[in-house]
Amino acid sequence: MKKIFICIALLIFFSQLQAQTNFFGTVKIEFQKTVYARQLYKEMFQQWYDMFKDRVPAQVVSYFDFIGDTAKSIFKPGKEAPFDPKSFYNAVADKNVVYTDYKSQKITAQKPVYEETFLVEDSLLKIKWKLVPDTRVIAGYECRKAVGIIDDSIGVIAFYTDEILIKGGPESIGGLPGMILGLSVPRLHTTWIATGVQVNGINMNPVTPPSSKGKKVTRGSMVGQLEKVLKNWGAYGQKMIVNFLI
Amino acid sequence: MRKLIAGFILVLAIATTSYSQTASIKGTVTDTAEKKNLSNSVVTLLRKSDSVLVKFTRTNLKGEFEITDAPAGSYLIMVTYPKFADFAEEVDLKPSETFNLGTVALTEKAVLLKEVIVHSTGAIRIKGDTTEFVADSFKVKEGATVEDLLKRLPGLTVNSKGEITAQGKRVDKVLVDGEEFFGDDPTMATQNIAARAVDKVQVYDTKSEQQNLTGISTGTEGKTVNIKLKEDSKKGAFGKAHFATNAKDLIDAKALYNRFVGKKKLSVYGTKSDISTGSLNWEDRQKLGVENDFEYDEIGGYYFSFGSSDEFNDWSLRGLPDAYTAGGLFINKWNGEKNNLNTSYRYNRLGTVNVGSTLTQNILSNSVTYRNKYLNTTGLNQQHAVTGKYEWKVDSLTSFKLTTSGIYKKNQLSSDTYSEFLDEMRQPINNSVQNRDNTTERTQLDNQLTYKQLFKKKNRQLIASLRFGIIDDDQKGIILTNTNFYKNNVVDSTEIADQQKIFQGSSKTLGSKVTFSEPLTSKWALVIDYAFNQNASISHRNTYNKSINGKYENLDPLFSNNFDLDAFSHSSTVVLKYTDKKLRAAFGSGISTIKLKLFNIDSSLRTTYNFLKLTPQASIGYTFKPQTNLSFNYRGTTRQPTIEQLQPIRDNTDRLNVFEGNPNLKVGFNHNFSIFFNTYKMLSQKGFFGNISYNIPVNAISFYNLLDVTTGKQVYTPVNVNGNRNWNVWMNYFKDGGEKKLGYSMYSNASGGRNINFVNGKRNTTKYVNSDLNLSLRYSVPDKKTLEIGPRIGYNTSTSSLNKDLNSNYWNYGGRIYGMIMLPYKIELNSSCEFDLRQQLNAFQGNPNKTIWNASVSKKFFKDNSGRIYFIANDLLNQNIGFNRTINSNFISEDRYSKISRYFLLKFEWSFNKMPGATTPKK
Repeated sequence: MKKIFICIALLIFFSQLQAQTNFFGTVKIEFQKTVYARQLYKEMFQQWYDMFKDRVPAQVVSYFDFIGDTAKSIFKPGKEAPFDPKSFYNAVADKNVVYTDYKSQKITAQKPVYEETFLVEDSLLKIKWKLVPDTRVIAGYECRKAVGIIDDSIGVIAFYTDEILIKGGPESIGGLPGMILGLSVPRLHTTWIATGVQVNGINMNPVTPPSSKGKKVTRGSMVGQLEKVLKNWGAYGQKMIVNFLI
Repeated sequence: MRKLIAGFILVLAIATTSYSQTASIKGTVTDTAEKKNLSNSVVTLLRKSDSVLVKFTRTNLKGEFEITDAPAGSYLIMVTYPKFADFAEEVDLKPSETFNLGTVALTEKAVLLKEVIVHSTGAIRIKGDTTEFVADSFKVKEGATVEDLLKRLPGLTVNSKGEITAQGKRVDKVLVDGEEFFGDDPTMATQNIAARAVDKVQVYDTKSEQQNLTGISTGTEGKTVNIKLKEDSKKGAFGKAHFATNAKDLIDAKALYNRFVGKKKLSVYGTKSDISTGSLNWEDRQKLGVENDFEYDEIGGYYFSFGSSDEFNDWSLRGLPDAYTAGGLFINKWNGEKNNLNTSYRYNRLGTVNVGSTLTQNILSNSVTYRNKYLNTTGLNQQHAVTGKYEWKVDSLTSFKLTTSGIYKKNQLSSDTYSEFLDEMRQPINNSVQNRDNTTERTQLDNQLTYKQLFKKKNRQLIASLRFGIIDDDQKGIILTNTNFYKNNVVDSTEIADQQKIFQGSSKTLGSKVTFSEPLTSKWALVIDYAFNQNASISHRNTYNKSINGKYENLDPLFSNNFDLDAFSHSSTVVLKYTDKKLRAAFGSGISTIKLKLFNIDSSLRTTYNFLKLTPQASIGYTFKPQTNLSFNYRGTTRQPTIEQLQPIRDNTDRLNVFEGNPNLKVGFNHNFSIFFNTYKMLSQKGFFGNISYNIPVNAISFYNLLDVTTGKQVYTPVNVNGNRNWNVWMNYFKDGGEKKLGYSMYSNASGGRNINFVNGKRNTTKYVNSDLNLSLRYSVPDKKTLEIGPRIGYNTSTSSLNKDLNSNYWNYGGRIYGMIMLPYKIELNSSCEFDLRQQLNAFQGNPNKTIWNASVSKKFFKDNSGRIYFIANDLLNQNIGFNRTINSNFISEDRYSKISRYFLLKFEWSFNKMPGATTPKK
């Protein structure tokens, strides 16, 4: 009898738990960045693509960690993805470290760009978001879809969840009511999808601005410098600028 | 938390104070069922006109929210809470107003999953967990979108929000051709892809698909819809043509036409030229789709293999051309590019007329001699070439490739040569006149079948190939030589030879090769290959003297030989490779045994040669950072003498210069070391490339020359020598200027070494160094003007141990100036000047210098600039001559030949492009 009582108590307790929605203010998220390299290279190297297409991997995967709370967060390279020596693919922007301070609305991002390392210090990236009536479950969280436009030209698609209170996302993308767990930049044929969300026992010690190594620039001055060189590179150059801007 | 939200609101307030006319909105969010306030609900304010997110906040612990400082206007306010249905309402916010929304009650969602039975029809296929729908089998109205199509598919439902449910599970991923989301514009969504562009719709479990690709579960469980688009059904054509003439004797014309229908492509082209060989340049070849394969070498990595070169290129052109080419290509890909066919045909016809000379200074111990040759030749080379390639990718792991090529060539040559041999005082020792008529025909067939198998284990690979080739050679020639031998400046004797040479040869090759690569760990890999080759060849070379009846009947056995040769080889290579992101290393060796069975038909003598060949190789490459690489390579190669070098064959095509084989030759070996370094800074646009290589040949094959100074007759025989060395250094430093900035490039090339040979029994060591330094400055304003200046200076030295006093060191200098300027009315002026000046050598008379000045003026016309008319002036100073200077072990020679010099042309060019989405032609 006693056992049954405990069982019923437990059941009620768990069902209560089920019904209750949890909100999380501190998380560690692993993002899997997937570049659909064939489509990307087809657009970047139109004339050459047919010659080397068999060597271009269909997708290239890399990992990033996002650690943060509602005050600050860091987005940095995560675990190593297996390296394929035969693949014809050059990783771009895979070493970025982005530190976001949500209180002062500032971003400090360390971005290795070719031979230079930039330390971008600027306000949050301004994105014009539109909410779209579509939802999707990512890493167990129900996410809402939003379509964003950066600089009136670069389109991004994001899935964010209300259940995580941080207004951040992969790289410098953020500014939605909840945490972005899925992001796509169609122009780069690239997606960032959360593969795991940790909500307990988060060590916030690594969440510090990146080392001061790098040339201090604002976002605008960095893009200006890149445009000067990359505008001579056609489709390749245009896509590269987007890669470094976000 | 309250503090935080308060802080956030404060920040928002500060950030938005710039708005002059603002309003606020507040309210409380509750749960309908439990009448409980919902904290952390997201409240968003969307602009009504385009649903752009203007402001948002979250409710506090009491479920209250307030959004302040929103610009006045029409909004959609949306309140969301996980697992609850969304609340949305239109609100009009007036300036300075605080709108009270009151209590917003949210309702928990009830999720209903209905199983849908899939009706099986011919239009639906189920493969494993994938259901595939053939789009054309489902009728949709004209102009329907993908969304409309999905609604028609059994088992799929699309609700009013655009959410898709497939087989009872919600679809959480929509892919287009395997990729998430869509093209460049975010407004382009599922609703925007036309249904008729869709080939198939595939539905599968999200989880299993992800696991297949990456082995990692995303933690999502739902369905994925993959929309496969139809293959390009584009039609189009592009082409170009030009015609140029001087209204007298010169014509240069070319026409190219390409037509596409989907994946089918047909190209035809033709050229006629009196100023070049008329062969297609790289750009044209690219456009036509002439095969340039991108190959992967187990050791070297990627490299380009351009189609094999032949004698119809402008580099090897000597004399004045009269050239025609014609050809066609057909390419087809079908079955999702799994089947790929590429066929081509090419005809070349190159006639040349050449007047040339070769002046040679021979170095003997303590003396020099001179050999001068003046020749007039007329030649006609023709070629028909057919190639075919068929590729069949059976599945993602297995593929077959069949390549075949057939070539028929015919070369006709007739020449008149006057040659003289002079002693140190330039007194004649001999002189001769030779008339030669020669016809060579070659038929060649080459077939290769390759089977490639990949495995589930990544990077494990098996390649097997089978090759079969036939070559058939026929050569017929008549050589008439009249030689006078002098003694004390008087003709002492005369030798007349009137001979016919008939050569017949054939060769059949059968070979096979199997290569297997196995990844040992993620970074180590082993590559093993084994190859077997068998070759049977026949060589009949007979020389006939003219008999009294005027027919060439009397065999000259001294200059005739006939043999059969069978060659068998087994070879194998083992290479161990290491690759990670920064370091690449490979080392291993090939080993092969070669057996040559020679049957000399004339002497009925059978000889068997056995060679063992080793090819050790090692390479290490290190990437310091992207675009900075250092690599070191070692390659050892066994050099086996050719059968001509081994056989006691005598060749007297040039009666005063007779080659004789040496059966005692040993197998040689060459060690090659090379270092390559490159770095490029993308942003500052600076780069450096450098390459050093060094060769140490062991038992190198050199020549033993026997010169009879009294007659000028020379016999040269291959012998083995040790002590040869040679090196080469090349480096280039450059900075790209970009727009309106000066760009520059500096490069230097140097080579040198030591060669050993024997002259009249004496060992002769020649040491040489050739070096040059080039500078190039470039200033360009795109589409306006360009100026390039590139001076060059070089120094060449050569010393011979036999005659140390002889000086053959010289400077050469020159360079290039180029300028372009765009004038109004789409007129463009171009001019270039090339200087090629060198110090005169004592050995030779005549001016080796030339300055080639070219200029052109052109005007574009038609709306899209597709037409262009040129007036071209080539070699205004009329100085263009063909010139080569060679400084070798024991001789220095200067070679001159005819080249097209001054001419003026009027040229008309037109291009068209009827490709869908094509842009206007550049420039």
